[in-house]
Amino acid sequence: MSSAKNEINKSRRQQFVTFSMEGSLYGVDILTVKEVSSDYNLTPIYHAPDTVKGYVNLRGEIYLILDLTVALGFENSLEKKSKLIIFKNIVDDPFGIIVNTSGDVVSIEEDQFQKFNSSDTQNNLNTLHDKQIINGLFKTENNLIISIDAYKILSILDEEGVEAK
Amino acid sequence: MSDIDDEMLNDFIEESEELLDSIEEDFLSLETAGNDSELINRLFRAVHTIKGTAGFIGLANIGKLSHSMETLLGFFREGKEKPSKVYIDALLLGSDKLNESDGMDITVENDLLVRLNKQIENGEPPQAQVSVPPLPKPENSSITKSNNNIDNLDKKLVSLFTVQATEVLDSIDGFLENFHKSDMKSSESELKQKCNKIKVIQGSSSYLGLDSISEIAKYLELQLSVLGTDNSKSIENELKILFEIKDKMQLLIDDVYSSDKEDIKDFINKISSNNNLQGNKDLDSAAPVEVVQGNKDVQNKPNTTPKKESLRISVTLIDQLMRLAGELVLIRNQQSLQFREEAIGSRESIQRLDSVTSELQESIMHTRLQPISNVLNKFPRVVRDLGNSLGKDVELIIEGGEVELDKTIVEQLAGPMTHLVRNSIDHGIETPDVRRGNGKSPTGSLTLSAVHEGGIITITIKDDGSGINTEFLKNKVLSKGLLPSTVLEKMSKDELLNLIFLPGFSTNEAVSSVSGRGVGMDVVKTAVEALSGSIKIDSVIGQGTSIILKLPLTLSIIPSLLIRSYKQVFAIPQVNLEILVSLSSEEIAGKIEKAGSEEIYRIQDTLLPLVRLNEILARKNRLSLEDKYEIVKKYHKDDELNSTKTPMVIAVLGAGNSRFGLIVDEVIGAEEIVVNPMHPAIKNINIYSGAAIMGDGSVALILNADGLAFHSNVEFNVDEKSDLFDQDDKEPRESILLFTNSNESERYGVSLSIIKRIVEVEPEEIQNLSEKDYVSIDNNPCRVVRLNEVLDVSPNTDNKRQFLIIFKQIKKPLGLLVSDLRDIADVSIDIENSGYIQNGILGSDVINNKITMFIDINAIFSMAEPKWFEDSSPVISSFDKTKKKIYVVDDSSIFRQMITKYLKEEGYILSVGKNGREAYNALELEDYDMLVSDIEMPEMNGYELIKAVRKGSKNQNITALALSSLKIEEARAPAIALGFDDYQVKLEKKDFVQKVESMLLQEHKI
Repeated sequence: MSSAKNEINKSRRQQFVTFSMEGSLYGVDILTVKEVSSDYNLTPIYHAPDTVKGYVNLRGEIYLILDLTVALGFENSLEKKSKLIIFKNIVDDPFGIIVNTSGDVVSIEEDQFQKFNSSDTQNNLNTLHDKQIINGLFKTENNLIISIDAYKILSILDEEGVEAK
Repeated sequence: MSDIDDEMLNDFIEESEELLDSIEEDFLSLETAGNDSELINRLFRAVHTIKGTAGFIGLANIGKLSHSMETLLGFFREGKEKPSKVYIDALLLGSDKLNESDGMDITVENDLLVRLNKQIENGEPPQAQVSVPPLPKPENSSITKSNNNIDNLDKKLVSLFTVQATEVLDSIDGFLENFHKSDMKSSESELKQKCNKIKVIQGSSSYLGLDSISEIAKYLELQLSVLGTDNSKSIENELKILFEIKDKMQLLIDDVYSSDKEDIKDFINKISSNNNLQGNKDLDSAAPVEVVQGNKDVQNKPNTTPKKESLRISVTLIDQLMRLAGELVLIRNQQSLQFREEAIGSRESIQRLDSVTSELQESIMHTRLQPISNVLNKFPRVVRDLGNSLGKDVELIIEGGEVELDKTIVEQLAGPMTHLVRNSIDHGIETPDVRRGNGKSPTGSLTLSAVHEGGIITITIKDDGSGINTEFLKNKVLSKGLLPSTVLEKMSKDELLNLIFLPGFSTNEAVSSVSGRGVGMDVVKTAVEALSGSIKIDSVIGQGTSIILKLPLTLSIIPSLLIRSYKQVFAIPQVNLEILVSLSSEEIAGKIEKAGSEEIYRIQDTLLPLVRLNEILARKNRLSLEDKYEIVKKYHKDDELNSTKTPMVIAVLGAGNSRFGLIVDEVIGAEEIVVNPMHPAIKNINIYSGAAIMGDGSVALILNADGLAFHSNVEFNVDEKSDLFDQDDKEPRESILLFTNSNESERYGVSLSIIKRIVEVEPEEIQNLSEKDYVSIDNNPCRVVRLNEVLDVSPNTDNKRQFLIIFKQIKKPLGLLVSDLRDIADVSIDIENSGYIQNGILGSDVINNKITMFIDINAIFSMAEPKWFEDSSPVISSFDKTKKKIYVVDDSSIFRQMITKYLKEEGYILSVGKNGREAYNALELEDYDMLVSDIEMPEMNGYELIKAVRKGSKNQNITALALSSLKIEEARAPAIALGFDDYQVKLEKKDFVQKVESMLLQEHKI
């Protein structure tokens, strides 16, 4: 038992902001998130890849907003009250994603987290893995949550750019 | 360290360090990337910049080394060599070496140079394991600042210096001679200028180690700067002292090599004590003249004006202040929206908030501004030295040095400007002999001017040199294989001038140490565009070249025009906006024309291609010709523009030398916006240059004029009148529609003004009835005439979509079928001298380097359908036509040819003029029976002409017919009102000839 306790102490709790796409639940590490915003005014950017939803101004800073459902090839299922998850400046240039979310935060033990590795071919995660934006899976009591690597999100655009050429 | 030499050196070091950082990185990636042409070009530019500057400052060895590196890179670029490891090693070593130099010239690193050169000469990779010799320390540098080392001094520099110094002293001599005669105030700026010149000399001399000259120059400047400011001293006395110092200095300069030892301090002390004794009897008065004690630090400048205190602040802090101020403005805007309907009491405080915020923002912005003289003041030296080394006399004129702009822009401007100035002197201004031969003054002039206008800085670099020969450019581009000849042939003059911006282009044969590697203008353009500016060239052969840079005042806040399209707000930078036009729904139809795949707006005698922002936004890929046809079709039913109830707003945008009209939905207004760059992930979208936050908190995209022009695939540039050089006898221009049939070399032209509409015809629409082709236009059969039916020319290509041209004044249903519309050229034409070719052809002239035949549409149609044009009721002439004298005036060569031809066939005696002035003079000299006059003409138009004639000239009562391509409604009334007897639209032969005859008959009866 004592060893188990130690382990709990060692394993940090990780928190995820969750959102849903096509019936599945996804999450991003809360440490990468600056805020979840529902009050915004989106400016569409014509000629941008379909994944780009537009620009948004939040307190003097302009964020590029992406729509992951488009990027991952899902049916566009954005609700009217979709929210923005704005990331911290984890990469140099500010960006966020537009998602259907209640803004729920799920915390899990780190050992619940299962790193996604390339040999896994389960479910429909293939496409996701192709895009290299998911970095793991974890289970909560009721759900399987797919974790998305915020650092990789912008790379979707590079791929699209290449494809377009 | 205020002297210019050091300043330049510092700039060089700073610039080079930056460049070398990137160079090293690029070399490394070159090794892995292999032949990446963009990478190589970038490296080439960087090394070239270092070479150029080093060569100029006189750091010869750095110049040599970078030259070698550049040559090697050149081989990579041309594909002669692959960037293999050994080369990269050598190049890296080279860049290390450059990095080492730290502003001192490096001693010739023989081994390295040999290695680089060997590779170049033999094309043999050197041994990979050559041991690197120990790098010499900067102390070993060839130029030292040691005092007595005159022997080591670069003799060339010293002689350069003495010439320059002598000249400055001479000019001071002249200034002093005249000083007491002139008014003190008016010479104040000149005085300042002289002081600056001495400062330059002082700087140069201290750099060269000529301490005594430096010392006396300092003293001279000091004395000169207080000249006339101290009332307690007599001007005469001050002048006397100044002359004395000046003469002494001249002596030192003349004797620069032999005696450097004489103690100048004694001299200075003697003078200043004399000065004080004679001029300053009252010892208590605060005399602003110092006795110079030491040979260092003459810091105590006379305090005639209180010194402004200044403070160094980090740019990041200012940027943050700027951003916060922007936010404050935003909050203010939201506040004032809310308070609009509320109590009046709060209005006053809102207003104050308003003005304070604006002022705050402005002040913060001004913290970043610096006078452009910081850059411009470098050039006197540059120009002088360069002129000397190239054996050219150049006078430099600087205007508007007080104009302020953003610090970053000022800093970034030095490089491109130096390049342009170098080019002007190297390639533009001729040697004195050549200039004399061309009847110019042997001294060339170079003007650098800066003007601030509405938030935009225009910098002009203008020389009076040889100008740019576009033919030469063309050949050059051809010989280098940069562009195919088919493209070149189609280019307008402005486009041709723009060729020098092509990467890999060089106008001068010789590669000199200052310019001529062909990377020059390319770099300049990139640099200017990186500053959100634009560059434009204007050149007249034999008269000179002007290069015009337009730059925003600051990079962060720009004045812009807000417009709406697609229900979204966009900003257009004012830098790009030339004019804003709003056409009411009635005006639209007459002013917007359709020509093939283009919509064209006629504005001030030029034709402007139109771009519809809505359509651009809706189309992600660059518009193809098909897209363009589709768009034109969408807005034009047949040839008429679909009527709209709302006025059409056209923003005329200029991007470099190209202009186009952008059709937007609505104009919102002008606003200063804070520019945010585009997010890097979507930077490749070229129609935007950035984004800005609006007053209501939303984001608006900033449109990029260059990108829009590219995306919309605007086909032709409209020639712009050169407003910089007055061309006295400017030939009138006319718009010519150019087309071809199956044979490319047979080009035809027809004046756009007589065309009513152009209809696209699919092959299957053409129906053949009794050997003749018809097509249905507006449900009426229209006879299709092809040129080869009546002329001995190549047939049409029948397999694809063709165009039916319908003419204004042809009343029968006839159209001319042509295979391919080429262009609309705005050119001046002379066809009178081309001689008679065949009936149906008026003559020929060269347009865009191709012989173009101008068709006589009246003749062609009457040959095709002679019966339709037969005179049904010929007027029985009761007068002898061969005795009637008619004066014909028209500025269009084509119409002159047509009119005279038709009238000559009738037998009239004709005289012809090109404009109203010529006509008026002719009518003063001789009697005529009739005047046939165009309306729109240069010099004196038709209205002015008839007014003058009717006012009481020799031919006061002449029968006068006005002839114009303007529609009847517009032009008839004023024509008649001003004295014409009748008015006719150009030009249907039968109508015209009958009209002339009936008018003369009328006169005859009277």
